[in-house]
Amino acid sequence: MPTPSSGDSTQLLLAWKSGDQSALNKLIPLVENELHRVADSLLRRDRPRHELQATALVNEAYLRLIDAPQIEWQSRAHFFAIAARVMRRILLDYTRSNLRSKRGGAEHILLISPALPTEKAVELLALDEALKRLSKLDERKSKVMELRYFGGLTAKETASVLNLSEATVFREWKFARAWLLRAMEKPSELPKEEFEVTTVTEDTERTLAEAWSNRELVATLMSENWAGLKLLVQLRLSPNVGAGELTSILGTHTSIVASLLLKLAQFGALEERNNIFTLTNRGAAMLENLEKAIGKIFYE
Amino acid sequence: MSFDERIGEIISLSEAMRLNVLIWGPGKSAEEQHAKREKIRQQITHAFINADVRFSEDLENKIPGSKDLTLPEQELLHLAACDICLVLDVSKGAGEEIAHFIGSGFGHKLVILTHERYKDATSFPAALRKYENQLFFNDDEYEHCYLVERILYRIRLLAIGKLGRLFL
Repeated sequence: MPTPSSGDSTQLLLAWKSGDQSALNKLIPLVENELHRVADSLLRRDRPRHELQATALVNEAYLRLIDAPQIEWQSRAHFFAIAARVMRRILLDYTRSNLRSKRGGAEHILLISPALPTEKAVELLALDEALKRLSKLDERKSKVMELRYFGGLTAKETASVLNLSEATVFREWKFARAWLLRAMEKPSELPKEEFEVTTVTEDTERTLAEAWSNRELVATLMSENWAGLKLLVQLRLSPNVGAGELTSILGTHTSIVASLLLKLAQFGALEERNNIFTLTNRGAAMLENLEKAIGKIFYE
Repeated sequence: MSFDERIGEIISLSEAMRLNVLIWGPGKSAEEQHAKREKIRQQITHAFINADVRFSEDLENKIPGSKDLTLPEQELLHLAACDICLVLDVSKGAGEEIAHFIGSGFGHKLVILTHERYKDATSFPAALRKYENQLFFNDDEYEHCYLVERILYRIRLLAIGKLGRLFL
Protein backbone atom coordinates (compact mmCIF):
# COMPACT_ATOMS: atom_id res chain seq x y z
CA MET A 1 0.00 0.00 0.00
CA PRO A 2 1.47 3.37 -0.89
CA THR A 3 2.41 5.56 2.04
CA PRO A 4 0.18 8.61 2.22
CA SER A 5 2.06 11.82 1.59
CA SER A 6 1.87 14.79 3.93
CA GLY A 7 0.27 16.62 0.98
CA ASP A 8 -2.69 14.17 0.95
CA SER A 9 -3.47 14.67 4.61
CA THR A 10 -3.02 18.44 4.39
CA GLN A 11 -5.52 18.58 1.49
CA LEU A 12 -7.99 16.46 3.45
CA LEU A 13 -7.55 18.67 6.50
CA LEU A 14 -8.31 21.74 4.44
CA ALA A 15 -11.34 20.02 2.88
CA TRP A 16 -12.60 19.02 6.32
CA LYS A 17 -12.12 22.59 7.52
CA SER A 18 -14.24 23.75 4.57
CA GLY A 19 -17.09 21.56 5.78
CA ASP A 20 -16.50 18.34 3.82
CA GLN A 21 -17.27 15.71 6.47
CA SER A 22 -16.32 12.85 4.12
CA ALA A 23 -12.76 14.25 4.15
CA LEU A 24 -12.51 13.33 7.82
CA ASN A 25 -13.38 9.69 7.07
CA LYS A 26 -10.57 9.59 4.49
CA LEU A 27 -8.19 11.42 6.77
CA ILE A 28 -8.48 9.13 9.79
CA PRO A 29 -6.84 6.04 8.23
CA LEU A 30 -4.00 8.23 6.97
CA VAL A 31 -3.21 9.69 10.36
CA GLU A 32 -4.17 6.83 12.65
CA ASN A 33 -0.72 5.29 13.00
CA GLU A 34 0.84 8.64 13.70
CA LEU A 35 -1.79 9.49 16.30
CA HIS A 36 -1.17 6.15 18.00
CA ARG A 37 2.52 6.97 18.09
CA VAL A 38 1.77 10.29 19.79
CA ALA A 39 -0.63 8.60 22.22
CA ASP A 40 1.92 5.89 23.02
CA SER A 41 4.54 8.51 23.57
CA LEU A 42 2.32 10.45 25.98
CA LEU A 43 1.20 7.37 27.86
CA ARG A 44 4.71 5.92 28.18
CA ARG A 45 5.66 8.97 30.18
CA ASP A 46 2.90 8.25 32.67
CA ARG A 47 2.56 4.53 32.93
CA PRO A 48 3.61 1.28 31.26
CA ARG A 49 2.52 1.01 27.65
CA HIS A 50 -0.90 -0.53 27.06
CA GLU A 51 -2.41 -0.80 23.56
CA LEU A 52 -6.02 -0.45 24.70
CA GLN A 53 -5.26 2.74 26.59
CA ALA A 54 -3.55 4.30 23.56
CA THR A 55 -6.52 3.38 21.37
CA ALA A 56 -8.93 4.83 23.90
CA LEU A 57 -6.90 8.01 24.06
CA VAL A 58 -6.86 8.33 20.27
CA ASN A 59 -10.63 7.73 20.13
CA GLU A 60 -11.30 10.35 22.77
CA ALA A 61 -9.06 12.78 20.87
CA TYR A 62 -11.03 12.11 17.64
CA LEU A 63 -14.26 13.01 19.42
CA ARG A 64 -12.86 16.28 20.66
CA LEU A 65 -11.21 17.16 17.33
CA ILE A 66 -14.45 16.58 15.42
CA ASP A 67 -16.12 19.01 17.79
CA ALA A 68 -13.50 21.65 17.07
CA PRO A 69 -14.16 22.78 13.50
CA GLN A 70 -13.02 26.30 14.32
CA ILE A 71 -9.36 25.24 14.27
CA GLU A 72 -7.46 26.75 11.34
CA TRP A 73 -5.50 23.72 10.09
CA GLN A 74 -2.23 24.78 8.51
CA SER A 75 -0.56 21.48 7.72
CA ARG A 76 -0.25 17.84 8.65
CA ALA A 77 2.35 18.71 11.31
CA HIS A 78 -0.02 21.29 12.74
CA PHE A 79 -2.77 18.67 12.95
CA PHE A 80 -0.55 16.34 14.97
CA ALA A 81 0.53 19.19 17.18
CA ILE A 82 -3.10 20.01 17.97
CA ALA A 83 -3.95 16.33 18.37
CA ALA A 84 -1.10 15.94 20.85
CA ARG A 85 -2.33 18.95 22.77
CA VAL A 86 -5.85 17.54 22.87
CA MET A 87 -4.55 14.18 24.12
CA ARG A 88 -2.53 15.87 26.80
CA ARG A 89 -5.61 17.79 27.92
CA ILE A 90 -7.53 14.52 28.09
CA LEU A 91 -4.84 12.99 30.28
CA LEU A 92 -4.77 16.07 32.49
CA ASP A 93 -8.57 16.13 32.82
CA TYR A 94 -8.45 12.50 33.75
CA THR A 95 -5.66 13.01 36.26
CA ARG A 96 -7.47 15.89 37.92
CA SER A 97 -10.74 14.00 38.16
CA ASN A 98 -8.93 10.97 39.48
CA LEU A 99 -7.28 13.02 42.20
CA ARG A 100 -10.62 14.63 43.09
CA SER A 101 -12.14 11.17 43.27
CA LYS A 102 -9.41 9.97 45.65
CA ARG A 103 -10.12 13.00 47.82
CA GLY A 104 -13.81 12.12 47.87
CA GLY A 105 -14.98 14.46 45.08
CA ALA A 106 -17.18 13.59 42.18
CA GLU A 107 -15.72 11.13 39.71
CA HIS A 108 -15.52 12.15 36.06
CA ILE A 109 -15.56 9.10 33.85
CA LEU A 110 -13.40 9.02 30.76
CA LEU A 111 -12.76 6.26 28.30
CA ILE A 112 -9.35 5.63 29.71
CA SER A 113 -8.78 3.53 32.79
CA PRO A 114 -6.81 2.70 35.31
CA ALA A 115 -5.58 5.39 37.62
CA LEU A 116 -2.18 6.98 37.66
CA PRO A 117 -0.28 6.61 40.92
CA THR A 118 -1.02 9.76 42.94
CA GLU A 119 2.61 10.89 43.03
CA LYS A 120 2.89 10.62 39.24
CA ALA A 121 -0.39 12.44 38.76
CA VAL A 122 0.74 15.31 40.96
CA GLU A 123 3.96 15.59 38.94
CA LEU A 124 2.01 15.63 35.68
CA LEU A 125 -0.14 18.47 36.95
CA ALA A 126 2.93 20.31 38.24
CA LEU A 127 4.46 20.04 34.78
CA ASP A 128 1.29 21.45 33.25
CA GLU A 129 1.34 24.34 35.71
CA ALA A 130 5.02 25.03 34.99
CA LEU A 131 4.32 25.00 31.27
CA LYS A 132 1.49 27.51 31.76
CA ARG A 133 3.86 29.78 33.70
CA LEU A 134 6.49 29.46 30.98
CA SER A 135 3.84 30.32 28.41
CA LYS A 136 3.16 33.61 30.20
CA LEU A 137 6.88 34.41 30.30
CA ASP A 138 7.72 33.25 26.80
CA GLU A 139 5.00 31.77 24.68
CA ARG A 140 7.32 30.62 21.91
CA LYS A 141 9.50 28.53 24.22
CA SER A 142 6.40 27.01 25.76
CA LYS A 143 5.01 26.09 22.33
CA VAL A 144 8.29 24.49 21.28
CA MET A 145 8.30 22.39 24.44
CA GLU A 146 4.68 21.40 23.96
CA LEU A 147 5.13 20.33 20.36
CA ARG A 148 8.43 18.56 20.86
CA TYR A 149 7.86 16.89 24.19
CA PHE A 150 4.13 16.32 24.30
CA GLY A 151 3.47 16.26 20.57
CA GLY A 152 6.45 14.12 19.69
CA LEU A 153 7.17 16.36 16.69
CA THR A 154 10.68 16.46 15.28
CA ALA A 155 12.65 19.69 15.34
CA LYS A 156 11.95 20.10 11.63
CA GLU A 157 8.19 19.61 12.07
CA THR A 158 8.15 21.98 15.05
CA ALA A 159 10.07 24.55 13.00
CA SER A 160 7.50 24.20 10.22
CA VAL A 161 4.47 24.57 12.52
CA LEU A 162 5.89 27.60 14.33
CA ASN A 163 7.52 29.11 11.25
CA LEU A 164 10.96 29.14 12.87
CA SER A 165 14.38 27.89 11.84
CA GLU A 166 15.48 24.50 13.16
CA ALA A 167 18.36 26.15 14.98
CA THR A 168 15.92 28.41 16.83
CA VAL A 169 13.79 25.41 17.73
CA PHE A 170 16.85 23.67 19.24
CA ARG A 171 17.76 26.79 21.16
CA GLU A 172 14.25 27.40 22.49
CA TRP A 173 13.95 23.73 23.38
CA LYS A 174 17.17 23.85 25.38
CA PHE A 175 16.08 26.94 27.26
CA ALA A 176 12.53 25.67 27.94
CA ARG A 177 13.92 22.40 29.21
CA ALA A 178 16.32 24.14 31.59
CA TRP A 179 13.58 26.49 32.79
CA LEU A 180 11.13 23.64 33.45
CA LEU A 181 13.79 21.65 35.28
CA ARG A 182 14.26 24.55 37.64
CA ALA A 183 10.54 25.31 37.92
CA MET A 184 9.60 21.72 38.74
CA GLU A 185 12.74 20.45 40.39
CA LYS A 186 11.72 17.10 38.94
CA PRO A 187 14.38 16.24 36.41
CA SER A 188 13.10 12.71 35.91
CA GLU A 189 9.90 14.05 34.32
CA LEU A 190 11.67 15.92 31.59
CA PRO A 191 13.00 14.74 28.25
CA LYS A 192 16.58 13.70 27.83
CA GLU A 193 18.99 16.24 26.43
CA GLU A 194 19.13 16.19 22.67
CA PHE A 195 22.41 17.94 22.94
CA GLU A 196 24.49 16.28 25.59
CA VAL A 197 26.61 19.02 27.10
CA THR A 198 29.93 17.27 27.28
CA THR A 199 32.22 17.53 30.19
CA VAL A 200 35.74 18.34 29.14
CA THR A 201 37.73 15.13 29.11
CA GLU A 202 41.52 14.99 29.41
CA ASP A 203 41.76 14.45 25.64
CA THR A 204 39.61 17.48 24.90
CA GLU A 205 41.57 19.61 27.37
CA ARG A 206 44.83 18.46 25.76
CA THR A 207 43.59 19.40 22.27
CA LEU A 208 42.41 22.81 23.48
CA ALA A 209 45.73 23.39 25.26
CA GLU A 210 47.75 22.36 22.20
CA ALA A 211 45.83 24.69 19.89
CA TRP A 212 46.19 27.53 22.41
CA SER A 213 49.94 26.92 22.70
CA ASN A 214 50.31 26.99 18.89
CA ARG A 215 48.39 30.25 18.66
CA GLU A 216 50.42 31.81 21.45
CA LEU A 217 53.64 30.76 19.75
CA VAL A 218 52.60 32.52 16.54
CA ALA A 219 51.48 35.57 18.56
CA THR A 220 54.90 35.64 20.24
CA LEU A 221 56.69 35.45 16.86
CA MET A 222 54.59 38.38 15.62
CA SER A 223 54.86 40.48 18.78
CA GLU A 224 57.04 43.59 19.00
CA ASN A 225 57.00 43.94 15.23
CA TRP A 226 58.11 40.35 14.65
CA ALA A 227 60.94 40.54 17.18
CA GLY A 228 59.99 37.04 18.35
CA LEU A 229 60.72 35.57 14.94
CA LYS A 230 63.93 37.61 14.58
CA LEU A 231 65.07 36.32 17.95
CA LEU A 232 64.42 32.73 16.96
CA VAL A 233 66.31 33.16 13.68
CA GLN A 234 69.20 34.80 15.54
CA LEU A 235 69.44 31.92 17.98
CA ARG A 236 69.63 29.51 15.07
CA LEU A 237 72.49 31.54 13.58
CA SER A 238 74.39 32.00 16.86
CA PRO A 239 73.26 29.42 19.42
CA ASN A 240 75.42 30.72 22.28
CA VAL A 241 74.65 34.39 21.95
CA GLY A 242 73.89 36.16 25.25
CA ALA A 243 70.86 38.24 26.18
CA GLY A 244 72.83 41.49 26.01
CA GLU A 245 73.93 40.81 22.46
CA LEU A 246 70.41 39.78 21.46
CA THR A 247 69.10 43.06 22.86
CA SER A 248 71.61 44.92 20.77
CA ILE A 249 70.90 42.89 17.58
CA LEU A 250 67.14 43.30 17.92
CA GLY A 251 67.48 46.96 18.90
CA THR A 252 65.05 46.63 21.75
CA HIS A 253 64.94 46.57 25.56
CA THR A 254 66.39 43.76 27.65
CA SER A 255 63.04 43.28 29.37
CA ILE A 256 61.36 42.66 25.99
CA VAL A 257 64.03 40.14 24.98
CA ALA A 258 63.70 38.38 28.35
CA SER A 259 59.92 38.22 27.97
CA LEU A 260 60.16 36.87 24.40
CA LEU A 261 62.72 34.23 25.41
CA LEU A 262 60.50 33.01 28.23
CA LYS A 263 57.40 32.88 26.02
CA LEU A 264 59.19 31.08 23.19
CA ALA A 265 60.40 28.55 25.75
CA GLN A 266 56.92 28.24 27.28
CA PHE A 267 55.36 27.52 23.88
CA GLY A 268 57.98 24.98 22.89
CA ALA A 269 60.18 26.76 20.33
CA LEU A 270 63.14 27.13 22.71
CA GLU A 271 64.55 25.24 25.65
CA GLU A 272 66.51 26.74 28.48
CA ARG A 273 69.41 25.15 30.35
CA ASN A 274 71.62 27.12 32.75
CA ASN A 275 70.29 30.39 31.35
CA ILE A 276 71.22 29.35 27.80
CA PHE A 277 68.32 29.24 25.31
CA THR A 278 68.52 26.91 22.32
CA LEU A 279 66.13 26.04 19.53
CA THR A 280 63.99 22.94 20.02
CA ASN A 281 63.17 20.58 17.15
CA ARG A 282 59.70 22.15 17.08
CA GLY A 283 61.15 25.66 16.81
CA ALA A 284 63.61 24.62 14.10
CA ALA A 285 60.93 22.77 12.10
CA MET A 286 58.62 25.76 12.24
CA LEU A 287 61.32 28.11 10.94
CA GLU A 288 62.11 25.70 8.11
CA ASN A 289 58.44 25.42 7.20
CA LEU A 290 58.08 29.21 7.05
CA GLU A 291 61.19 29.38 4.85
CA LYS A 292 59.80 26.66 2.58
CA ALA A 293 56.57 28.65 2.27
CA ILE A 294 58.39 31.81 1.07
CA GLY A 295 61.07 29.83 -0.80
CA LYS A 296 63.97 31.60 0.94
CA ILE A 297 65.91 31.33 4.16
CA PHE A 298 65.66 34.23 6.60
CA TYR A 299 69.32 35.28 6.46
CA GLU A 300 71.47 34.53 3.42
CA MET B 1 66.04 40.89 0.30
CA SER B 2 65.83 42.09 3.88
CA PHE B 3 64.35 40.30 6.84
CA ASP B 4 61.42 42.71 6.82
CA GLU B 5 60.70 41.90 3.19
CA ARG B 6 60.61 38.23 4.08
CA ILE B 7 58.13 39.03 6.86
CA GLY B 8 56.10 40.91 4.25
CA GLU B 9 56.00 37.74 2.14
CA ILE B 10 54.83 35.67 5.08
CA ILE B 11 52.02 38.15 5.68
CA SER B 12 51.03 38.15 1.99
CA LEU B 13 51.02 34.36 1.84
CA SER B 14 48.93 34.14 5.01
CA GLU B 15 46.41 36.57 3.52
CA ALA B 16 46.17 34.47 0.36
CA MET B 17 45.84 31.17 2.21
CA ARG B 18 42.84 28.97 1.48
CA LEU B 19 40.86 28.92 4.71
CA ASN B 20 37.45 27.51 5.52
CA VAL B 21 35.74 29.80 7.96
CA LEU B 22 32.35 29.05 9.46
CA ILE B 23 30.19 31.65 11.19
CA TRP B 24 27.42 30.44 13.45
CA GLY B 25 24.93 32.84 14.94
CA PRO B 26 21.48 34.40 14.70
CA GLY B 27 19.51 33.96 11.49
CA LYS B 28 17.80 36.57 9.35
CA SER B 29 14.95 37.03 11.84
CA ALA B 30 17.42 38.77 14.17
CA GLU B 31 18.18 41.54 11.71
CA GLU B 32 20.86 43.44 13.60
CA GLN B 33 22.88 40.39 14.64
CA HIS B 34 22.54 38.86 11.21
CA ALA B 35 23.88 42.08 9.72
CA LYS B 36 26.83 41.82 12.09
CA ARG B 37 27.50 38.29 10.84
CA GLU B 38 27.40 39.60 7.28
CA LYS B 39 29.83 42.37 8.19
CA ILE B 40 32.21 39.88 9.79
CA ARG B 41 32.00 37.72 6.67
CA GLN B 42 32.76 40.71 4.41
CA GLN B 43 35.72 41.82 6.49
CA ILE B 44 37.23 38.34 6.58
CA THR B 45 36.83 37.93 2.82
CA HIS B 46 38.37 41.35 2.34
CA ALA B 47 41.40 40.57 4.51
CA PHE B 48 41.86 36.92 3.45
CA ILE B 49 41.16 36.85 -0.25
CA ASN B 50 40.94 33.07 -0.60
CA ALA B 51 38.94 32.44 2.54
CA ASP B 52 35.70 30.55 2.01
CA VAL B 53 33.45 32.07 4.66
CA ARG B 54 30.12 30.33 5.21
CA PHE B 55 27.15 30.66 7.49
CA SER B 56 25.85 27.36 8.85
CA GLU B 57 22.52 27.88 7.08
CA ASP B 58 24.32 28.23 3.72
CA LEU B 59 25.49 24.65 4.13
CA GLU B 60 22.29 23.09 5.46
CA ASN B 61 21.43 20.01 3.36
CA LYS B 62 24.13 20.97 0.83
CA ILE B 63 26.51 18.11 1.55
CA PRO B 64 25.52 15.00 -0.46
CA GLY B 65 23.65 12.57 1.77
CA SER B 66 23.33 15.09 4.58
CA LYS B 67 19.53 15.25 4.28
CA ASP B 68 19.43 12.02 6.30
CA LEU B 69 21.37 13.66 9.11
CA THR B 70 19.97 15.69 11.98
CA LEU B 71 20.91 19.35 12.23
CA PRO B 72 23.52 18.75 14.97
CA GLU B 73 25.05 15.95 12.90
CA GLN B 74 25.28 18.24 9.89
CA GLU B 75 26.81 20.97 12.05
CA LEU B 76 29.39 18.52 13.33
CA LEU B 77 30.35 17.73 9.71
CA HIS B 78 30.72 21.43 8.97
CA LEU B 79 32.87 21.89 12.06
CA ALA B 80 35.09 18.98 11.07
CA ALA B 81 35.62 20.49 7.61
CA CYS B 82 36.39 24.07 8.65
CA ASP B 83 39.61 25.65 9.90
CA ILE B 84 37.89 27.94 12.36
CA CYS B 85 34.30 28.37 13.51
CA LEU B 86 33.21 31.73 14.86
CA VAL B 87 30.12 31.63 17.02
CA LEU B 88 28.28 34.88 17.60
CA ASP B 89 26.73 34.14 20.98
CA VAL B 90 24.62 37.25 21.44
CA SER B 91 21.69 36.07 23.52
CA LYS B 92 21.44 34.16 26.73
CA GLY B 93 21.52 30.49 25.98
CA ALA B 94 22.05 31.01 22.27
CA GLY B 95 25.32 29.18 22.37
CA GLU B 96 24.28 26.44 24.73
CA GLU B 97 23.42 24.09 21.92
CA ILE B 98 26.98 24.15 20.68
CA ALA B 99 28.43 23.21 24.05
CA HIS B 100 28.19 19.57 23.07
CA PHE B 101 30.62 20.14 20.17
CA ILE B 102 33.41 20.94 22.58
CA GLY B 103 34.08 17.28 23.24
CA SER B 104 33.74 16.32 19.58
CA GLY B 105 37.46 16.47 18.85
CA PHE B 106 36.97 19.75 16.99
CA GLY B 107 36.24 21.97 19.97
CA HIS B 108 39.57 23.77 19.50
CA LYS B 109 38.22 25.22 16.22
CA LEU B 110 35.46 27.10 18.03
CA VAL B 111 35.82 30.76 18.85
CA ILE B 112 32.75 31.77 20.81
CA LEU B 113 32.12 35.48 20.89
CA THR B 114 30.00 36.29 23.91
CA HIS B 115 28.77 39.62 25.21
CA GLU B 116 30.43 40.46 28.49
CA ARG B 117 27.03 40.68 30.19
CA TYR B 118 26.99 36.85 30.04
CA LYS B 119 30.41 36.51 31.61
CA ASP B 120 28.91 34.81 34.66
CA ALA B 121 26.85 32.32 32.67
CA THR B 122 27.96 28.73 32.87
CA SER B 123 26.79 27.58 29.45
CA PHE B 124 30.28 26.54 28.45
CA PRO B 125 32.99 24.61 30.27
CA ALA B 126 35.63 26.80 31.94
CA ALA B 127 38.31 25.20 29.73
CA LEU B 128 36.97 27.24 26.80
CA ARG B 129 37.83 30.48 28.58
CA LYS B 130 41.10 29.15 29.92
CA TYR B 131 42.34 28.38 26.41
CA GLU B 132 40.76 31.49 24.89
CA ASN B 133 38.14 29.74 22.81
CA GLN B 134 35.54 32.03 24.35
CA LEU B 135 36.13 35.74 23.94
CA PHE B 136 34.06 38.47 25.54
CA PHE B 137 33.17 41.78 23.97
CA ASN B 138 31.43 44.91 25.19
CA ASP B 139 28.87 47.12 23.45
CA ASP B 140 31.52 49.48 22.14
CA GLU B 141 33.54 46.66 20.58
CA TYR B 142 30.37 45.25 19.06
CA GLU B 143 29.20 48.59 17.65
CA HIS B 144 32.55 49.54 16.19
CA CYS B 145 35.05 47.43 14.33
CA TYR B 146 37.17 46.30 17.30
CA LEU B 147 35.42 42.96 17.50
CA VAL B 148 36.07 42.32 13.81
CA GLU B 149 39.72 43.31 14.31
CA ARG B 150 40.06 40.75 17.08
CA ILE B 151 38.54 38.13 14.81
CA LEU B 152 40.89 39.03 11.96
CA TYR B 153 43.88 38.82 14.32
CA ARG B 154 42.72 35.38 15.40
CA ILE B 155 42.47 34.22 11.79
CA ARG B 156 45.91 35.69 11.04
CA LEU B 157 47.40 33.60 13.88
CA LEU B 158 45.78 30.55 12.36
CA ALA B 159 46.99 31.31 8.83
CA ILE B 160 50.60 31.96 9.88
CA GLY B 161 50.50 28.89 12.11
CA LYS B 162 49.41 26.87 9.09
CA LEU B 163 52.31 28.27 7.05
CA GLY B 164 54.66 27.11 9.81
CA ARG B 165 52.75 23.81 9.82
CA LEU B 166 51.79 24.23 13.46
CA PHE B 167 48.13 23.66 12.59
CA LEU B 168 47.84 20.69 10.29
